[in-house]
Amino acid sequence: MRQFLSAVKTDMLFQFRHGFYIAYLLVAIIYIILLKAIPSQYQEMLTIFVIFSDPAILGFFFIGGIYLLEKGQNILENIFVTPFKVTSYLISKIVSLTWIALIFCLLILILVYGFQINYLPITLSILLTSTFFTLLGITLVVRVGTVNEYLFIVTPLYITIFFLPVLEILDIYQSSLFFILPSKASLLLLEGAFRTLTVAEWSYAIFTLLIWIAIAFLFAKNIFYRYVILKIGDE
Amino acid sequence: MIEVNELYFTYPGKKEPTVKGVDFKIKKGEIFGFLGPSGAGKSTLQKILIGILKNYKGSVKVFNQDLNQIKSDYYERIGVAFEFPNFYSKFTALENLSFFRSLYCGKTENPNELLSVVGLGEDGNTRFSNFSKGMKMRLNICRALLNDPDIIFLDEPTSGLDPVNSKKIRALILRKKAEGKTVVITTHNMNVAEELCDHVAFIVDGRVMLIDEPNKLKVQKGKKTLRVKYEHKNVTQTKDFPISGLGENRKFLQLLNENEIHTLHSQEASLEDIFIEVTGRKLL
Repeated sequence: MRQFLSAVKTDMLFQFRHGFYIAYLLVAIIYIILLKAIPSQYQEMLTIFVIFSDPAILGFFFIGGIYLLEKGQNILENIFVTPFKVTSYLISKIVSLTWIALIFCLLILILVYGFQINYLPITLSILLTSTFFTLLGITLVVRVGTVNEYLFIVTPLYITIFFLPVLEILDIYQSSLFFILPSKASLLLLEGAFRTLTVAEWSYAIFTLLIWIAIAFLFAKNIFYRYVILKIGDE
Repeated sequence: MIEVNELYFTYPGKKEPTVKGVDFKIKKGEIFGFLGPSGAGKSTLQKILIGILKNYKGSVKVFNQDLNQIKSDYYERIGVAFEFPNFYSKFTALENLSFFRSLYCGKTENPNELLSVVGLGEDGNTRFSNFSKGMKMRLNICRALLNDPDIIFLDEPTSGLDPVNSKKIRALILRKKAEGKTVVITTHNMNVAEELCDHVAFIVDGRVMLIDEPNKLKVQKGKKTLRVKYEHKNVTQTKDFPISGLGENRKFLQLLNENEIHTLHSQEASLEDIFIEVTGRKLL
């Protein structure tokens, strides 16, 4: 546990020193200004979109950036010739990115809505969405070599697929197929801030996200071993 | 301590094995050097010994345990310094060492003390990115010693160091040996190998061509002669004498008595000469 907490602390210090938190703060300020300025009939829709995209897109961007920075500093080969395990590495990244997503999302919501909305489904949605997208980001970023490839090819491709259910929120397109995507479950939980969710909705959303997280975790661990651990010491 | 028999390793997707039938033993408390040119298979061997590459053929035992069956606690007992010193660039030396130290569960060394040993005692709060190459190399050695390991793997440990610091690191390696630690060095620096290693293995094309003590090799493969440099009629001259019966060699004794002697050197072979003779290859 001491080992794990130290890894989380180091990840947070790393993110802070590389300016990730400043970037997050700037994004949060823009979101707050936007949400306050928008006419009230669109506010709920935009809030759901913003709070979904924050841990999803930023988590995805940030994990990519963090991994590529660590790779650029060749730090990984040295971490994995210690008793530190890949599982701990992955969880440490999830924890360090999720808490910051949670803090900033709650900050945005409290400044815009005060305590008039239901924070339980929102908190759950942010935690699970951030976990999933961080893992998805890891499975993809370890295969690509450069920031450009990650930002301009991988991110748009995957974000488009996983953002399809947003079309429903924006009243553009609806499909029952969206129910298999984790993002549909995330968005449903976010709706729970403004209306009461049924037991079936709660169960569907949590179960779907947990399944996707389990799959993403196994993929991330396997791909990390193949693309990172087996390449340790390569020049 | 380390026992390797009939070791073969082929990288996935490659037809030709990188390591081809290697055997060696490394005893507890010795300094063992792998010498060979780039691409000879040294780093692959090192990756197998530090437990990263697992799908090898043959037997590799460390601490009497098959390496195929090791768990992460193996890393509690070994320390590794790769050739290139890599740390978190925006962290200070101490922040870096404290992080790596926290990854171990067992007894660990105090990072401040380790920094002092390698002459970085005043630089603990300096960011890694502001370190010179030599400072980074010394910090790299510190990291390999954080968990007070029983086996220390060092890749080119004195590369990029000035003579003073190189001496410091060599003394540190010898001190670890005196403490009963086993040190495995990978290098193409013959001076390091000659000075530090109890045994050296010459590796070329994935095979071990020879394993022996450097001093024994130098005597065995060298000429049994003594070279004398002396001043004669204001000109420096050189003459070789057979070492056997040197005390009764009249010409030698006469030369000593009648001339000003500059140097006397026995003509043992250098490790580099022996490497070229045995393997037919140069080290670089």
